[in-house]
Amino acid sequence: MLSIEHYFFLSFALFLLGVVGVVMRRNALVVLMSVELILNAVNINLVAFSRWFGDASGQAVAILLVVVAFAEAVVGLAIIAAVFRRHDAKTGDEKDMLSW
Amino acid sequence: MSSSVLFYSLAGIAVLSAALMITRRKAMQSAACLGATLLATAGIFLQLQSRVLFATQLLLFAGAVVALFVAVMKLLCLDGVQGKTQFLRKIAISLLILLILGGESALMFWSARKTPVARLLAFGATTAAKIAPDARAVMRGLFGSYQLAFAVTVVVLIVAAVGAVAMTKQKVESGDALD
Repeated sequence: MLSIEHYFFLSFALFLLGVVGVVMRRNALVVLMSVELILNAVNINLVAFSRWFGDASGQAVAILLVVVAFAEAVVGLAIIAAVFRRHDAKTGDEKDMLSW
Repeated sequence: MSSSVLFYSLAGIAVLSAALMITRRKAMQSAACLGATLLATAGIFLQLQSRVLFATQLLLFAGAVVALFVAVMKLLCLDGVQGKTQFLRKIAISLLILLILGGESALMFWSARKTPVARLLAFGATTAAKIAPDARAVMRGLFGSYQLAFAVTVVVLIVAAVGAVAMTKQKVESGDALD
């Protein structure tokens, strides 16, 4: 097995790209995809540490995280669908619909 | 040696497709790139001998989530394109953020190596645990120590499903009923 830093750096790179996607893109769907990317990066860390320490807890938490990410995607897409239907908007920040 | 080659190939695909995902102008292309990233991540899970996570990632993340994105995009015709000038300005801002965060992380790793905390966490050690946790151990953890978290997750998933249905349900009024 490679050293844990390899996985750590990969996870960090994906996390960073996810954050950049959230900040940079205006399309609400791509923002949601970037959030999925961030959660995926966290999963890599969990599994790598789980393997590293030989403890299954990390993988158990990673499974729960996958399910939560799926639920987040479902709710996020439903919100986007509802908002887009009601306002007929093309991007997330049009008409300040997704800002607070 | 072969594991290094496999890791670097998969990591390269994951990072490259993630970068493409956030830079593609069409949302459909972004969804395809997200799928590639998630598949590459599934390969990394397999390399880490986590077969349960590999299967979960393949079915739920790379399968269901990406399919859901594509379905919603097609359903609502949302494959929108941003204006080019605006897009270039955003890229400049994101490059600046990348530079700042990258520098910060480099500083963090450089300083962390010299502290006792880093040695305590055994960063830079040469070997991992001899035995990788198998599916039985993972499930024992899931239905043992994390039983409450599992139950809460189930509730969250059910609430999400019901909420999604309730939110997307269209009220058909007499004037604009669909034929």
